Amino acid sequence: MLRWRRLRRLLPVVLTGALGVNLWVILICLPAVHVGIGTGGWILCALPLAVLVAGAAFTLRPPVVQSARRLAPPSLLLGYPAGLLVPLTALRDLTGVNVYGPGNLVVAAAAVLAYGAGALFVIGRVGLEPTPHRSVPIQGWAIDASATRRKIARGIVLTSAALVPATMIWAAYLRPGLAEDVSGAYGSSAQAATVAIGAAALALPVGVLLVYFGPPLRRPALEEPIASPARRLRGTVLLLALAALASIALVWMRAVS
Amino acid sequence: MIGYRLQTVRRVLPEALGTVLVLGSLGLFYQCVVYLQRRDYVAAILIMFVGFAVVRSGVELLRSSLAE
Repeated sequence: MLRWRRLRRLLPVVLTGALGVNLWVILICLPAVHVGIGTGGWILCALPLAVLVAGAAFTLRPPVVQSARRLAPPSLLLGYPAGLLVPLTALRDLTGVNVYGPGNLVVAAAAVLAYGAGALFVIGRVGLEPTPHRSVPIQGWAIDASATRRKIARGIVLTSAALVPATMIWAAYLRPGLAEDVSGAYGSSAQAATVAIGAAALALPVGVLLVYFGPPLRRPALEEPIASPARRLRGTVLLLALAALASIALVWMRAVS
Repeated sequence: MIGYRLQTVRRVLPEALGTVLVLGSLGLFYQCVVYLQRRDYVAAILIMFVGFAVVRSGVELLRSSLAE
């Protein structure tokens, strides 16, 4: 029983750690071995692992430090992916080398998605307080219609949240005609442009996940102030109006050029 | 009967519209990266902004179902 409890406590750490290390091996370690970098390069490559270890440790339940639990989401969803970009940006050879064919690139993309999904799952579980055991009365066997709808809506939001990074990875690394577009537009600095655009394409879904998909999926804490629906609606309408102006500007630009 | 159908449509419509908007935003974000790769920065920024607005609207529509 005690062993099971200990295992349950360590499960989020093991899951996040395994998926994170898998991502590190695919994105950094294998190209680094292929290129053959020096000791200094390896130290730089190990930098994101420190962030991963810290982020995984913050998910421990009960927490090692009470306030550390709040640091888990930014470290795992922002700190670690950003940390992975440091060696990739500093050591240009890592992205220039052709280690992967198209099939393996899909595996790499799947590793990114698996890490994102795993980290979100662990963070979601860490944020929840343990619920007391309860029994279901016999009339409760009939599934509540609103509960089914909630489940469907949650599934839609989760699927969409997974599709955003998948689309970005496809657009940045795998889409047909990518090499012609980049070399045609950037010329000799095409390699640097690919790295920079790739970084932007990975940062964009992280931002979208944190700002738009995260809040509706997260259970709000009791002391957290919740924005009123009317205020949220006003914000959305204003944003849509500005987006309409942006669309008009885009169409006008295309018409002029 | 008609009332029941109206109620169902009223319930399903926001979810369907929200899904369409969220999936539509994927196309906009894709196009944003393509514009960046073609060195068309202004168009990329504009279309990214439109994408943010569309995804927010979609999530707001789905949020009502999640909160029930």
